[in-house]
Parts: sequence; C-alpha cells; structure tokens
Amino acid sequence: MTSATPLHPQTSQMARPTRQDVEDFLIEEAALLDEQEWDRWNDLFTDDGLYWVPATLGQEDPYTHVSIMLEDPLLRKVRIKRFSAPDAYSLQPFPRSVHLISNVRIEDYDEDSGLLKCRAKFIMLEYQRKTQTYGGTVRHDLRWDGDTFKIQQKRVDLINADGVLDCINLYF
Amino acid sequence: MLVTNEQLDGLVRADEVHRSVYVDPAIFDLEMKRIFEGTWIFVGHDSQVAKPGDFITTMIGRQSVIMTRSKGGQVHVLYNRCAHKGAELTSEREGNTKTFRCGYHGWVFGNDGTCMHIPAEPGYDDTGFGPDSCKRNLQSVAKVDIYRGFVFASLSEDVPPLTEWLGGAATSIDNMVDRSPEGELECVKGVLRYRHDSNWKFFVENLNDLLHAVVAHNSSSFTARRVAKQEVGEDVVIPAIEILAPFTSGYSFFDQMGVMTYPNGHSFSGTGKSIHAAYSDIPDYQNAMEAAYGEERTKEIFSTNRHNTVYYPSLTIKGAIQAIRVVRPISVNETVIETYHLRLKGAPEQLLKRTILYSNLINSSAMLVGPDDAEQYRRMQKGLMTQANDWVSMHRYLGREEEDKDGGTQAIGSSDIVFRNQFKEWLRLMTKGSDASLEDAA
Ligand code: FES
Ligand SMILES: [Fe+2]
Repeated sequence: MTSATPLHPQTSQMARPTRQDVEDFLIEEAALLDEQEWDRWNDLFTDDGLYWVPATLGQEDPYTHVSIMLEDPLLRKVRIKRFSAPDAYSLQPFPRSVHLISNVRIEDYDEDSGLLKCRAKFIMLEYQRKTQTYGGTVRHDLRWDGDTFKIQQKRVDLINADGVLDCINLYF
Repeated sequence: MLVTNEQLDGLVRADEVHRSVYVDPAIFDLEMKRIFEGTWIFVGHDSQVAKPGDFITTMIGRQSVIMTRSKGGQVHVLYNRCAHKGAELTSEREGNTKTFRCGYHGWVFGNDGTCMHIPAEPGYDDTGFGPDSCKRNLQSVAKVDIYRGFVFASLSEDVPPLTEWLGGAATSIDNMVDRSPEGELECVKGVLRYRHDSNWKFFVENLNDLLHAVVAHNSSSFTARRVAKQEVGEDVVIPAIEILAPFTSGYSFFDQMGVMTYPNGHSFSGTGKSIHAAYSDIPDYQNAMEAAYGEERTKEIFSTNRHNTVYYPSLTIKGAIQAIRVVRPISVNETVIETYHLRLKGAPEQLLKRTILYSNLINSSAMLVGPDDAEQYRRMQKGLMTQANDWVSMHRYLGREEEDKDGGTQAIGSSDIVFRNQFKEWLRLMTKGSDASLEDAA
C-alpha cells in the first residue's frame, strides 16, 4: 500500500468488505482464542452477540432444541471468569487449543445494514490430558462498519454434533 | 476364574463398599450380565415411536435392540440381530419403516419381528429352519412394559411387574406427566451424548449426592452469581442465573432438600426444599393447568418439586425440568450419559424453553455444571486405583433415617442412605443366580 488513501474511506457508501478482510478477521479471532485472550475475544462480539454450537446438524432453533453451547454475552463472561477460578477443577491442568480456519466464503452482504454472512471450515485441537480433534463449519454473521467487523452470531456446526462428545472446555 | 456370591457379598458392607466395584473389569462384566441384562431397563419414551413404522435403536447393557411401533400401534422391543446369521439389522438411530432388510443375505422382517421373506428359500426345506421355525423371526426381549409413556424392557423373565418394581418412586414419573395440562409428554428432537471417563455408578450415585454441589459447582454457580451481580445487578431476573445460582445454596439448604429411598435401588432428592422451586412463574401455564385440573390439584402438582429421581440402574429423571438422563455403561471406566427432553403437551412453549435452557447449562459436555461433576467422577476413578484404602465410605448419617408412609425411607439431604440403598440392590441383583464363572459374564 503506497498511497495515503485510507484503506476503507468513510463515504456514504461503505467500502464493500473483501474475502481477504473476512479471512484476516477470522484469523485474528482464532489467534485471540489460541492465545487465551478471552476478554479481547469477547469484545469482538456485538452487545447482544451470540455464540452457538448446535447439537444437531441443520438445527433451526437455539431455544426449543438443546445445544452443545449457547452463550450470550453474560454467559460468556461467566465462562471466561470461571477460566481463572481456582476451584474450576475440570480446568486443571488448563487446556490449550489450536485453531485452523480455511475455505472462507462470503455468502451474503447487505450494503445498507453492513451485515455480512460468511462460512468457513475449521479444525480445532484441544489438549488437556489427551488431544481432542474437532472440525466442522463455522458461520459468522458479521457487522461491518467500513473498517472492522463485530460478531453478531457465531455458529459452529461440528460434524459430530449428534455424536458422543467428551468434555469440551474451550471455544471453537 | 470364578466370582462366587460369597465373594460378591464381601464387597458390600453396611457402611462401606469395596473399591473393586468401581475399578475391576471382571465386576463390570458381571454387572452387565446380572444388572443391566437382569432387571428393568428404560428403553425410550413411547413418543419416540409415535407413528406405526417408527423405530429407534438403543442398547440394553451390551445388547443392541430396536424399539418399534407396528401397524396395530403396539410397541415392540426386538434384538437388533438378524435371525439368519446374526448381522445387526439396522445401524440407524431412528427411522420409519414397515420392514427391515438384512444387508447380508437379504432376509426381510416386519417391524413386529415376523420373518417375511427369505431369498432362495427352498434351500431351507426339511432343515428345521423352514417356514414353521420360529427361529426365523426376530427375537423379542423377555419383557416389555410401559408406564405413562416410559418404555422399559427386561432381558430376564425373572423380574417383578413393572409397577411393582417402580413402587413409590413411580410418583416422580407421575409428577412429570401431571405437569402437562393434557397429561402427556412428547420427547423432542435433540439429544446430548456425553462421554464420562468413569464407572457408571458414580453418575447414578451423584444425582442424589447433595453433599457435593456446594464445593464441586462453586466455580460455575458462584461465578455466575458474581458476574450477574456485577453486570446486571441483583434485582434483575436472568433465567440462566436463576438456574445456576441454587447449586451453591449452602449445606443447610441441601440438607433440608431431603432424600427418599425405595426398594429396588430407587431414590429421589427433594422431599422438602428444591433447587427448582424458586423459578419465576409462567402465568399462561398456571391458567392452562388450572383449567385442566382445577386450582386445588394444580397446587398439589406444583408442590412436588423433586430434584433427581433415579430408577436404578439406568434411568434418571428431573420431573420439574422435564429432562431425563440415561446411563449407558461402555466399560469399567467409560460411561455415556444421554439427555432427552420432554415437552409438556398443552403447556406454553416457554416451558420447553426452560427445559432446554436448563439442559444447555447443566447437561452439556461443553457447559458449566456437567463438567464439574464429570471431573470428580474421573478423579474418583483414578483415586480408587490406589491401594490406600480398599473401602469407600458410605457412613454419613448411618442409622439416622426415618420410615415414611409411602413404602420409602426418608433421610436428611446429605445422608449416604441413597448409596447404601443402591448397593443393597446391586448386591441383590449380582448374587441372584448361582456362582458365576467369568465365561458366564462374557
Ligand atoms: S445374516 Fe442376515 S440375511 Fe444372512
Ligand atoms: Fe453435580
């Protein structure tokens, strides 16, 4: 980038986000999770942003059908607070994760609202006493403000959502 | 190797149990044979096979079974084993079909188990496996019975009638069903399947272990209280916090909850106080209930707020929450817990939403309360591998129980009576037959 032109000029029409923008954001998000920067990760969400891991593939509703994880901002704060609770025995030793994110596709972008829907594939390894492997499709509903994104909803469809699951400690 | 009844007898004392019941694979094998394949086991809810042709597959102990509903509306529990050479007939979890076709040599069976077609059939003429042989049909399990929608089966003929076996503990199922204005439950889609690295008995013991919550769930429950107070203040009712907060209610609260035990190993907690009693009202629901049952009876139904009821060894229910958890032992140190959710027919959708919210928070392998428990079962599994003390305590409030009128025995909430009662049934079932060789168990 050689010119002094801002990357995303704030005109009445916001610059359309590119796949590169989306991918960069998802990579940053994954990095915050792996680096255990939970508060900074949670700040990526909108004030009512939802984190959702359905228990059935194609699950339509998070409220009348059970989920593996369903967290609004308050419940995320509870989980994040619990990460540092000295008596959270199931987190001893504290688990680690590595996220790989790929195959990013923008599915829809609404210029007026700045709402962007994208889909990516992910693999996450979580290690505590043994290494667990998780993979699937992650769908983000992102709010674009011309410069950056906020997460309105993050939906994680594990390929084995309806299978037998071990304890999952960290965020996908 | 022979496991004699005398040896088994020696594993259970009035106040202690030998650690091998949790860690010895030979004991586990015998438990599968004599407990899970020897008593009433919950198979499913009849709404899971609502229409003729519907089926689900599940396990009774180590044995694969199919629950079907046939044309006439009857519920069958059949071994999932082809009558020909034994292949598992279906690997689907659920479906709807008139017939099952074996994928190996093509034998076809009706959903009531009747053999309907055998390719190249004349080859069996005059062999004893011809049209007259009942061995050509799928085999039904020894006993099937349904109590208010809950389908139980036994692989053994030698069991009391289901209602007699349930005894006074049946009132917990009654209370769950009565909470529907139409007196009926419907199992909804969506099941949690949670693997525990521990023996199945830790789970069924823990459900009415009222001594653990204050410590084991502090990191979840107390953190939830603290964060909610900080973020939204104490006066705002947040449904998730309403569910999480009572887990750290203090020892005297849990003692006042009380426990009740019944013959055959059953028990429930919540004779007095309940962690489910203080939830916010849902006015439309109250109205629907009063319209159906009248004011007096509705009050009576809502005054029962039991915590967990355990139908030993495999079914555990939460009447006030309409969720059930089913125990599937895999090996001596591996157990899968399945959570199913029931809709109260005729009740507002908000009730189902509460059931789901509760289960998300408590029963999921990825949320808060479930992993608190699972971690302690794992630690017991590991701790009891040590030879520090061969005996595991069940002393608490020994001899301090009180007789109750409904054929049950009541005690203070944190009493170990629940475990003493479960091991009484464990020993009864384990020593029912003659001495067992290990070949017998396998
Ligand atoms: S094993 Fe089923 S048809 Fe042969
Ligand atoms: Fe617990």
